[in-house]
Amino acid sequence: MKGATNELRPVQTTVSGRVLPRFSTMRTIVALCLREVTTSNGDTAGGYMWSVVSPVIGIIGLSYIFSAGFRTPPLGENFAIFYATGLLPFTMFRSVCGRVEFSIRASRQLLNYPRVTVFDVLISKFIMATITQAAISALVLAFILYFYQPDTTFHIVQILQSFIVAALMGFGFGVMNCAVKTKLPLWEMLWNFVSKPLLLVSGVIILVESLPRPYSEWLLWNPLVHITGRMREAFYVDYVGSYTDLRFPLEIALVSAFIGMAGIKLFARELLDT
Amino acid sequence: MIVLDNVTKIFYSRHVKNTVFKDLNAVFPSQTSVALLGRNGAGKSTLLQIMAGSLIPNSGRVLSDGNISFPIGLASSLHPFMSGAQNTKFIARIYGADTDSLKKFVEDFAELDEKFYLPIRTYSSGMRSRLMFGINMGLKFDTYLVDEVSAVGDAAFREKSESLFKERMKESGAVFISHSMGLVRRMCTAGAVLENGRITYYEDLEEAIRAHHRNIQAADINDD
Repeated sequence: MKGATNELRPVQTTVSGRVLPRFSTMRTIVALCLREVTTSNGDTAGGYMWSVVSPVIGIIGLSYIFSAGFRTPPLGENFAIFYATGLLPFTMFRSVCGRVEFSIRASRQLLNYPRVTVFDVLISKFIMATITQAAISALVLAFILYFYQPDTTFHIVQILQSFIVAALMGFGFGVMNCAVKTKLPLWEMLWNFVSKPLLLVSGVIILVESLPRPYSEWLLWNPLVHITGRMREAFYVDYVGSYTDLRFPLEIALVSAFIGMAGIKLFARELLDT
Repeated sequence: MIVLDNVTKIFYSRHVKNTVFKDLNAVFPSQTSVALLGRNGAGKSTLLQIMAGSLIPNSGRVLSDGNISFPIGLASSLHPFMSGAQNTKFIARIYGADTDSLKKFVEDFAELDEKFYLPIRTYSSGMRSRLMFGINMGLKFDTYLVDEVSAVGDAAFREKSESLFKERMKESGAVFISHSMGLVRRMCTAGAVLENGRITYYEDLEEAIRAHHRNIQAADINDD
C-alpha cells in the first residue's frame, strides 16, 4: 500500500471503527494469547502452568478440609464433589469477569500499537481466562471423581451448558464493569461490595431449597443460582433443579455485554487517555 | 501522506481541562522526512500518538493514504519479561510480517548478541531503543513516527542506523521528534513547528529551525 493513487482514509485507531472483526483481528488475538501464555508468572520456572496448577491445588485443598469438617453435605454423600460442582462454575464467572474487567489496564502498553484494538485485548483475555478456567475445572473434577469415586452421574451436555453460560456472563459483566468504571471510578468500589457476598448467595454452599420461602424466591433473581443449579443437576440424579432456567443468565450476559461494548465504544477516548 | 483535519486534543486530569492543541490543520507529505519541533510540553508526543492512532482526538480527523508505524521510542511497549526475540516476533505477528525474517533482521541490526534472547528488563535504555528502532525499520511503513530516539550506541552504530533510516526515506516519509538540531538537520528535509496549540509547516527545514529558536527565545524573555 503506497503511492499517491491511494485514497485518503481515517487512520485506524485502537478502537476499530468496524463492528465485524477484520482478518487482522484474528491474527492479533492469537498473538495476544501466545503472549499471555509466555509471559504469565514472569520468569518463574513452570510459567503459565502455575496459573492452572495453583488454583487446582487450592480448590482440592479446601474441599479436603471442608470434607473433614462437614461430614454430610446438603446434597449427596461426598463433600468434595458437592463443593466442586458449585464452586467451579462460580469461579468460571468470577475469574473471567475479573480478567476481562482489568484487561485494558493490564495491557495498556499494548494499545500503543494501533494494530491492537481494545476489542482484541478484551477477546484475547476472555479466551485465555476461559481456557485456563476450563483446564482447572477439568483437573479438579477428574481428581475428585477418580480418588473419591462419589456416587454421582455425569451429564456432559448440562455441564458444558453451565460452564459456557458462566463464561459468557463473566464476559458480559467484565466488559460492562470496564466501561462503567471509565466514567464512574466509584463503580469499582461498589462492585467490590456487591460481589463479596456473591459466593454465599449463588447456591455454591447454601442450596436454594434449604432456605425458607421468601428468600429462596428472591435468590432466583441471582443469575448465578441458575448456573450452579444446572451443574448440580448434571451430577445428582435426585436433584430436581426445576427452577433452573439458563435463558435468564444468558439474557443478562447479552444485555451486560451490549452495555459494555457500547460504553467502550462511547468512552474509548477516555479509556485510552487514562 | 498524513492530513490533520481540525484535530483537537484535550486532557482532563483532576477535572482540570488541559487543551493540548485546538483545530490543528496540517499536511505531512509522502516521502518527506519532517522534523516536528516545539518546546517541552508543546504536545509533540501527543500529536505523534494521535497520528499513530493510539490516542483518539476529541474532535477532528487524521487521514492517511498509507500505513503508519507505531511511535518508536515511546514509553516502552516492550514486555519486560519477554526477550528481545519474543517481543520482535509478537510485533511481527500483529503487523502480519514474517516472524523469522523480521527476527533475523533485528538480530543482525541491533547487535544485541546473546542479550537478544534475554528478557527486556535486563537491557539498558540504549539497548532498548536499538531494539525498538530495529523492529520499526524492519517493518515496511509508509510513514515512520520517531519520537526522541537519542543517539544510541557508538559512532559506527549511529552511522549505520542513520544510513538505514535514509534508505527507508527513499520510499517512505517520517515524522521525527528530536531536541538535537544536529540530528534533525541530518535526518529531515522539512519541518513543522508546534507552538501554543498551533502548527506551522515549513518546506525549508532551516526556516522551521529559525522559527523554533525564536519561540524558545521568546519564552525565555517571557519567563524573565
